[in-house]
Amino acid sequence: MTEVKARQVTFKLQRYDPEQDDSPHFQEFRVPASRGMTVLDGLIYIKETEDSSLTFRASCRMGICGSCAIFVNNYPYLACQTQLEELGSDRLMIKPLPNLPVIKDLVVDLTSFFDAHQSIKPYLIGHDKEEMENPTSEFVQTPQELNEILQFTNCIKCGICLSACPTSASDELFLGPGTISQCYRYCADNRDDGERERSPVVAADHGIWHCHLAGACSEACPKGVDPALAIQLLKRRLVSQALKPGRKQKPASVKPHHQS
Amino acid sequence: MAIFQNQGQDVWEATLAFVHNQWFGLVVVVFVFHGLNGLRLSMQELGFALGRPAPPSYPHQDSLRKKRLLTMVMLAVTILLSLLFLYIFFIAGVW
Amino acid sequence: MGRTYLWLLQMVTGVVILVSLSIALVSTHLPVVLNLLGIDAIGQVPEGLAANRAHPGVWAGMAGVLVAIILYHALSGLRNTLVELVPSAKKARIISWVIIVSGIIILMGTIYVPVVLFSR
Repeated sequence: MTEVKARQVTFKLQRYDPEQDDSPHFQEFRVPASRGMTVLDGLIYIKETEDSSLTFRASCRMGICGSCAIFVNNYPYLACQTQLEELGSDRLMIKPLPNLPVIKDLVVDLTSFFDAHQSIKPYLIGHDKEEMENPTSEFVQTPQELNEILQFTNCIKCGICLSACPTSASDELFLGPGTISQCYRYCADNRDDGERERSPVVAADHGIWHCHLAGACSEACPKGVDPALAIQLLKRRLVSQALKPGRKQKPASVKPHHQS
Repeated sequence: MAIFQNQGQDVWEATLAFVHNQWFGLVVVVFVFHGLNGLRLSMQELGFALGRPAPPSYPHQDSLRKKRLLTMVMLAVTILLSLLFLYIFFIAGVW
Repeated sequence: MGRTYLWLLQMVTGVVILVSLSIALVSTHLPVVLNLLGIDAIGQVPEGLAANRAHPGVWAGMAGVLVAIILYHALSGLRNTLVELVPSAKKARIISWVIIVSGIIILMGTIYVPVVLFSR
């Protein structure tokens, strides 16, 4: 019987240990590739069999945690969701996400990303403070109202949009597409009343007005969130507020107790 | 026109010579592109002509399709207007 | 909200410039445009028409306003581009003030045109 040779894929990995290296360098590994194998599988293979010092982030291995975002052949991907076959190459250059400081090897420091996200208050700020503190029932939201924001709730905070964004590359203080699109997600939610609190943060220097609709964030997003659309819709809301201040959408009512 | 009537024939002729330079045609092409692109951005950066949020189902649909379509239309109009300008003012010599 | 108003102003001035300059270009080259549409008008439209319309003060004032709008749009765009490349707030303020002062100086120089027209 003829032996089927396993396909060999070369992983050219960027290595950087701040305790030992002055600057990043590349190291190559050969990985036997099988059908359905992902980039993350390749990295785990390298760590288990070739070099246990290789450092990368991974957790759920099913595209829901956002930990394994990396740069493969100069494009950002989730390592667990990217099969070797779809990349169409036997040589993969793997680097950490750009526009973020590197901690070690393929691990980047996401502190600024999460700090920016926190600054836009990514939680519902209801108009009825008493109801928010001591909820008596659910807020009413129609399917149409949910559809206005559902797409943007898919965000897993992987940071790929920030890495793809050309504005983030030139402006290190830019809030980032992920943060701004999540700001829209909450402002457009009919259960939320926090737009006035979030507007000064997102409309400040290095905020939403530094976005010029390159669209790289939407192209790279692995979850189909389309942050570019959210950002432009938020611009419309801000302009509408600037021209005619005041609440534009009716606040969500609370479902009466006796209704099941 | 009035300022040149005031300053005299030499200034008028010098200005015309400057404007009739073929490199000025490039400036006009760039101006047309900048103007039309600005119109496109004014529309799309306010969320128009980008589509509406869609339920997240695979394969993912994003607003980039509409953005790219409008960008292509804008580029096509720019090229048409530029070719028209170049024909009228340099080839047909109507200037 | 200040940045929102600035962005809105940039957009509005851009549209105003596009419309105004298009009208100006067509009206000062009316015979050419009519010729394109198949109407033989070369030599029939009075050559001095634009100059005569430029004489009254209202036209001179509009020209001055258009110059100011163009200057604002250009310098504001330049300022936005430079500030995006400079993460420091202090440097951004310096750039803004340099551009504002330059804009005022250039505007005062170009106001000469409508002033001359006024004084005719």
